[in-house]
Amino acid sequence: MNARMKVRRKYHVHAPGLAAIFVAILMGVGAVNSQNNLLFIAFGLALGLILVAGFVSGSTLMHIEAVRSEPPVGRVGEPMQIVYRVRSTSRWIPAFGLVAEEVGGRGAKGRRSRLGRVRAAITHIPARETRSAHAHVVPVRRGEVKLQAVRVSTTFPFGVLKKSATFTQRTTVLVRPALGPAPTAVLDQALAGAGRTETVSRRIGRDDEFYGLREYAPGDSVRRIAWRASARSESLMIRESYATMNADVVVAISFSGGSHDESRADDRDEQAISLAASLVEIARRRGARVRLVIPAAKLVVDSHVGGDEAASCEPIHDALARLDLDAIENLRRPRPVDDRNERTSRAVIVVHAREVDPSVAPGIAAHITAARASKNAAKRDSARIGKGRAA
Amino acid sequence: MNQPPRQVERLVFLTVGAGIGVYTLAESDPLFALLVGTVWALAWPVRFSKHGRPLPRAVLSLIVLAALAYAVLRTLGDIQNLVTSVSRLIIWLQIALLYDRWQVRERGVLLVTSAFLAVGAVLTSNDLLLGMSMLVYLPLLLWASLLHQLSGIEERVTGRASAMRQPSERRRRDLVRLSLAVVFGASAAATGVFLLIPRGVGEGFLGDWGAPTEARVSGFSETVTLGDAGLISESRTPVLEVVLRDASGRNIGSANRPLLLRGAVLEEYRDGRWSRRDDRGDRYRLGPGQTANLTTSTPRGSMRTLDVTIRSRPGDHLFTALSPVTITVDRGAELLVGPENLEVRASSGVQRYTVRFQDSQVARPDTRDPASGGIASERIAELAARLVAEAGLDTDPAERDADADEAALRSLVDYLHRNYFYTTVMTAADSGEDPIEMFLFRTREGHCEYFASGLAAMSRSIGVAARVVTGYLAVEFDDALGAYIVRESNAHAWVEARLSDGRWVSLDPSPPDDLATIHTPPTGITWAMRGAWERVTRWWVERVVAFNEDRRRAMVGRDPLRIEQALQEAVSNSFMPTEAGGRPIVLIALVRGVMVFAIVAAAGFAGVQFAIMFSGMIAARRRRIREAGTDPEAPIRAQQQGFYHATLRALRKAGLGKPPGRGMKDHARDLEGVDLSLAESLDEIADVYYASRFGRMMLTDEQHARGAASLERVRTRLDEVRRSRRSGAVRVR
Repeated sequence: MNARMKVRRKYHVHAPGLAAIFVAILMGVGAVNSQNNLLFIAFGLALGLILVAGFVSGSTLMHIEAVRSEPPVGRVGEPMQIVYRVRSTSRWIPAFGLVAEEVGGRGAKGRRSRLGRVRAAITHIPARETRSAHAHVVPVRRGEVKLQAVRVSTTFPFGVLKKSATFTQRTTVLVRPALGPAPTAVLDQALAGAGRTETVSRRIGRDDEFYGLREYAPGDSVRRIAWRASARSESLMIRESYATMNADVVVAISFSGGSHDESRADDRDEQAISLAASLVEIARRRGARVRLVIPAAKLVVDSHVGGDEAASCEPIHDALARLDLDAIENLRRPRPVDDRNERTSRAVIVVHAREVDPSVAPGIAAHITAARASKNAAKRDSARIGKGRAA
Repeated sequence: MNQPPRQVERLVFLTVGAGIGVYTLAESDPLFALLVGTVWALAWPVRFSKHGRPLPRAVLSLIVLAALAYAVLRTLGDIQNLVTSVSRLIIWLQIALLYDRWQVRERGVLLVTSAFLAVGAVLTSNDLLLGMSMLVYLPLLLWASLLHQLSGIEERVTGRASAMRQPSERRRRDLVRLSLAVVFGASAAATGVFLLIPRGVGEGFLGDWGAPTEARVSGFSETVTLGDAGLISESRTPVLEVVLRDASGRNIGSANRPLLLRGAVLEEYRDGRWSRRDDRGDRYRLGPGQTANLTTSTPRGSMRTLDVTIRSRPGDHLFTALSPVTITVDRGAELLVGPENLEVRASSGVQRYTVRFQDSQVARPDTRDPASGGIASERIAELAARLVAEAGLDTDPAERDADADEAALRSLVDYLHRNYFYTTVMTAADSGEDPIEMFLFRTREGHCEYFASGLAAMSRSIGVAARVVTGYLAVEFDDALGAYIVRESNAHAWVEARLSDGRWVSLDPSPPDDLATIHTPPTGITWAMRGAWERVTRWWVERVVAFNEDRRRAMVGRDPLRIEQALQEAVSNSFMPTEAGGRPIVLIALVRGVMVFAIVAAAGFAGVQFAIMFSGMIAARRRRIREAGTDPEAPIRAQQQGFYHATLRALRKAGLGKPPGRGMKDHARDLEGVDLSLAESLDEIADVYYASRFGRMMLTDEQHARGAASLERVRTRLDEVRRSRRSGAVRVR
């Protein structure tokens, strides 16, 4: 355990505990009143069980250390796992029935929780051993979640007393926007506008994939001579390869439109962000280089070039996760998408949070609203169900 | 310890059964025990067999409502029935839950109510059998609670139990060690409380609450009804333990000195029934160790003492000799001291009392006219007169002195001894026939009540006031204990007659030889075993049930922790005593408030259940009508869902049945630890089924084939799981 980690231990006022104490007192009063010796024994047992429960839970948590492993990046709607390593330092007393959960911290708990309730159960930790507890959560909102502390509590053995130990461990979890169904047609439309039909096209170039052989021509690099083939054909042959040409896709988000009353960010803005993330992901899977443009936030993020392809759009998703709409002034003011330089070579898609406003990117950009996209998805679902019925 | 929930459920089920058993043992109502035992046992297949289904909530709510109504009516009829009523209500609530769906909460409710039932048992009886059954029940309850807590914590946190993982040996060992520590700690606390809390302080400050309310049935009765057919009970259960001492305190009891322990004095006779006069007497409230005078006259003659220990309370009566002078009780009690009868409130915790009495041959002044009429039969009068005349005595009572009266009574007793037979088989009287005449002139056989009734009738006909007395005949003397052991079968009836000088004498008209045969304890190995059991019972009564302040002080001193002082202050000063009685009205109000709250809460619960049940029924009915009216494809869909039900059957057969109320997808997740392929197949089946059931889609041929294929895969995987289990290992894929 981190030496600087702050630990707070306490007993909690717990409804079943109060009920148990009340019943025990009632039995005691009954025993004194009636002098019924068996009731005295029952009272003693009830009292003993409460004390033993307090001792067991208390001594268990006096010797517990909990550490949260570095949490992964999450995504709205997709399960993620937070791992806690809980150790019992007691020499003799095993720990039973522990619950590790997140407490405190903005966005970690409560009604505005981004992660939902983060809890994991550990049924048993033998003395001087460590066990892992896995909390499975499905984030419900994008953003940064500040995790403050891990609380390990137990009501074992009888559920009448609750004791907890809280370990302060501050960290941040990034929750990326949800990836949902997105209309691929809008991407095709944008590519067509940029004069392309595919996000990736191939021509003869310098990649590794073999294309064919041709005779040597002056100026060809000696390194590209296929010596074995040259020996067979008695003339110098040059090995030719494919080269991949990635399209450039710009995904822009416009929050403009709506009435003055709608100046605060709402679900439609979140839907737009989610749709943009989905389009970015679709474009990435189809091999395109992607740029995210959010004029309102003066944000331009490019996909990572030259790295692992699977991680290439992570900067964009992270930027979308961190985007704080409430901090943007005049969120609803129309702002043009600046794509002058690449207008002819780039496919531009503008995602509108509200109604389509072509003025933000006039010309060849493809426009889509979050509301329309979700309506289309619903239509697809109902069509599928209808098809099933008809069959 | 990730116990499979089924095992925890079975343990909870058994614990509930044990709790019900403990309570019914305390209540000693065999019919009720049989009823609830049967209903409990029938819940097992409903709960755990593969074809078992929970009962509809409507039926369960009706059971709870009926039990609630019965409990309220019974309690309103007599507040003494409160403990019994509440306990029975708890039992029916548990039964209803046993037939319902279970989640973590229901298991918890069952265990908590089971613990309450155990408290109800303690409030009902202090019998040794109850104590022994507690020794079995409490560890079971403890173990079930621990396992329930462990599986419940995981179920609450993750929404599901790790159903199929077996606990490791290490966990099992740790849990056993912890349980032992808990048992040790709780027992130490119970022993400490038992020894350290002073007895007698605060006793009765809330009335009768907390005292055992029910008693075992004893042979003793305060009424005698003649003329019914049947057989007298010969139960040998000990009822009392009596030490007889003379004035110097010397134990003078012996097997050769039978002792008549007087209980109820019956003076009124009507239509074959002897009963008490309607004069219950005055009430006295005694504190522990306090003494009450039972006579206003100055005692004369030699005094003797009876030290009586109650082993099993035989009703409200306290048993004394013919002429009691004083009574001292070990615990606070409310006594009803009548002219002839001595009673104690049924709920009193009195376990021991001492009666000082005069020799029976000393005259007792009467505080009222002795009953002498009620039996107008010329045949009986003629018989009695003839017998007195045959004895050479004057038939006119005015001409007889006390000795002549006694001689006349002896002649009647001799006649009965010589000419009548003792039997415990009772013959029914003919219609319109007086049972005493039947006994004296037709059957000439009967048991002690007939003999006593015959003698009382004849005595009254010759002008001697007489009455029937019921109580016990103590003949079994335990030399080791120095005490008479009085059993239920020692219940007896005899006669007290008043001589002309005012003396009352006891006369036993039952044939002495037959009495000896009936009341002498049998011998043999069974009886020896019974004797051993009784010695344990005696230890229980002496050391636990009747443990008092004297014994406590002898063991731990007067008040080492000053608990007595604190209790005294709490009882006397802290709770605003009323002006009249001195009882703390705040506590009384609190206790009554809790009772009223419990009843209102139970009624509210039942009302809500009832409302939910009926609204659910109406909604379901409407839904069915609506679906049938607008959806002609519903029956076809139901037919298409056959693969799903076949899957359920296959799972149940393999012991991996889906718990009621749990979705198939959740169950599939539960089974991931057993077999991943199985879980995937179940997930596919759930997809197809949900589309049909909730999406109301007609399944396409392709979907149907997919469902059937998944079912086949499930069957194959289940076969493999079964084989793996038989070979001792579950392979996780």
